[in-house]
Amino acid sequence: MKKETNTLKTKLRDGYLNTMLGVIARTLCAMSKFDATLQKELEGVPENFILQMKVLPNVASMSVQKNSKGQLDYLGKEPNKGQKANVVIAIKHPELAFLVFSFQENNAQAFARNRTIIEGDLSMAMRMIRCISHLEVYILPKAAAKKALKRYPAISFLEKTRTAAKIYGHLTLDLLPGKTT
Amino acid sequence: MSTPCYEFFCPVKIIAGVKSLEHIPHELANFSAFRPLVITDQGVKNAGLIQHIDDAFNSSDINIVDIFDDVPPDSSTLLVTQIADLYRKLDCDSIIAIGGGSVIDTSKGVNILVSEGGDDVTAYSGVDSLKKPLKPFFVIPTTAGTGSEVTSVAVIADTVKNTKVVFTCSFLLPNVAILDPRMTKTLPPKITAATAMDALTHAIEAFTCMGKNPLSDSYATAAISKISQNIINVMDNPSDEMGRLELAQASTMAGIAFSNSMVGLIHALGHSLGATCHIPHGVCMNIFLPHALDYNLRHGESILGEILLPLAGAEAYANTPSNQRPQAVIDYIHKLKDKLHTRCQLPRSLKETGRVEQAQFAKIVELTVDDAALILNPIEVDREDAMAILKRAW
Repeated sequence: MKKETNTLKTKLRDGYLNTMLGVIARTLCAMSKFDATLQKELEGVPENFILQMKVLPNVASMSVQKNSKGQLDYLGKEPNKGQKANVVIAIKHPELAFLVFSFQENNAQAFARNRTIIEGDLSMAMRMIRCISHLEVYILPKAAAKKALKRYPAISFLEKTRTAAKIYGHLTLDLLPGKTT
Repeated sequence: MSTPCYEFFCPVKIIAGVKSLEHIPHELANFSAFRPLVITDQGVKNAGLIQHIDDAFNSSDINIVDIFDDVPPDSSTLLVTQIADLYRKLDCDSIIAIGGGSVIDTSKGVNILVSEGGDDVTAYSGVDSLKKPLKPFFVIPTTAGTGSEVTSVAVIADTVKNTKVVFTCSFLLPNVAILDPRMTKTLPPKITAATAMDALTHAIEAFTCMGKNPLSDSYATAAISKISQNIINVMDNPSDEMGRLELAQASTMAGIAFSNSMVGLIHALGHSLGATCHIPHGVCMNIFLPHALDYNLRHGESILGEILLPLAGAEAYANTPSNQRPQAVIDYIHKLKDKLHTRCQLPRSLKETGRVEQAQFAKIVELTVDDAALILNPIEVDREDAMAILKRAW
């Protein structure tokens, strides 16, 4: 019979993973409302396209969908009933996901080490991975972003701070009561 | 440095050498398969290679049910559906693919549909989309380059979207690969050169990209050594069966290497050029190989120099200072390209293909940055970088 050990540690880890995926999803949606680079990437993504990222087995998950305005909407952990994600990026185990989300391994290393599975259209997956990498430049501290990415772009502290402030501003508006996303 | 955690998987039974084809009936029976469909192309048929297969099935109790011999060089998902219909109609129970990359990848697509059901193979695209073993699948390569006989990857053109659809799953691996020197002996010089450069690229990217691991490294370096030692000799002596067998084995070894470590920038550029301008994959690899290695080197890639040993031999390696070895590798490849161009006019640049317009660069760049092979390139590549490499390769 399966026996769970160190329950508190496991709960903390899984809570952290859910928080991180939620933050990525919601900030990605917020950034898609104003950032030209992200919007250009999303131009090549079909309307109603759904990206789901998850940590197996059902530990953490997030889904976002491109709307008719070319922006992303947060769907929650799963796509809406009757919908299926077009691209699913899944990490095989919560311990492996923790390596990624605690910046001990970057996304590319996780792929290289066969820790990640991609299902669906790979070219769309690449586009969404670029969107997430672009987001990480602004929402992560520089030291963490440098570990998460293969190349940290040449941006000023002012630009980083200004864009991050915009992201969190839009995020706050999204979270106001009455907003659906 | 090799990745500190890796997976390595190659369950393909490889039968290599003289009279290997004659093993096929027994191997099919081992899978309880008695109604194989052969999938091949007109080039194989016209070269008389089917006769070798027919001969191998004489004196056996297994008959080939039918031969589909019309796979084009740039196959499509629509053709996959058509051949799958034929397989079902004739109640076949196994597939024998005879040909190069297009035939083998098409056959992998057919195997997906006849095993999983349905008419749209793109529904199974992506990584690990298949959940159970497919029908018995044998591969007889007639080129020495794709390594497709030992890879879990298939790339098939979607002619509706004008793009290439990628399938990656261990269930795509053939059950048996047969390397018989009779099957590559008649390969024309230009295709021999292009496919050898394809295999060389597989091995070099397997060794230099992020998914490298100790096991794939050993296959990659052995493949590089076999190719560099035999390619010019085979070009000068096309009927050298043992030289051709060496190239065929090198191709298979490179295939095992990159199937377990994946590839990078050179393949991302090559897939995109191939999809846009319909240039054979091996030619694309030949054009981009030194330019993409140079890009990675200039941006911090650090292990390229180690390839000089299998590529140029111990003496050249020992005589080259360690800090000059990476550039020596690139120079060696440029010289190899020149030698092949002299012998068979294999294009060294985009311009020499006569089929690429600079106006197409923007489209090639877009496809390149969307190509999944870029994930494991050791260096980040954005649109500007990809455009710069295309201009250097012009």
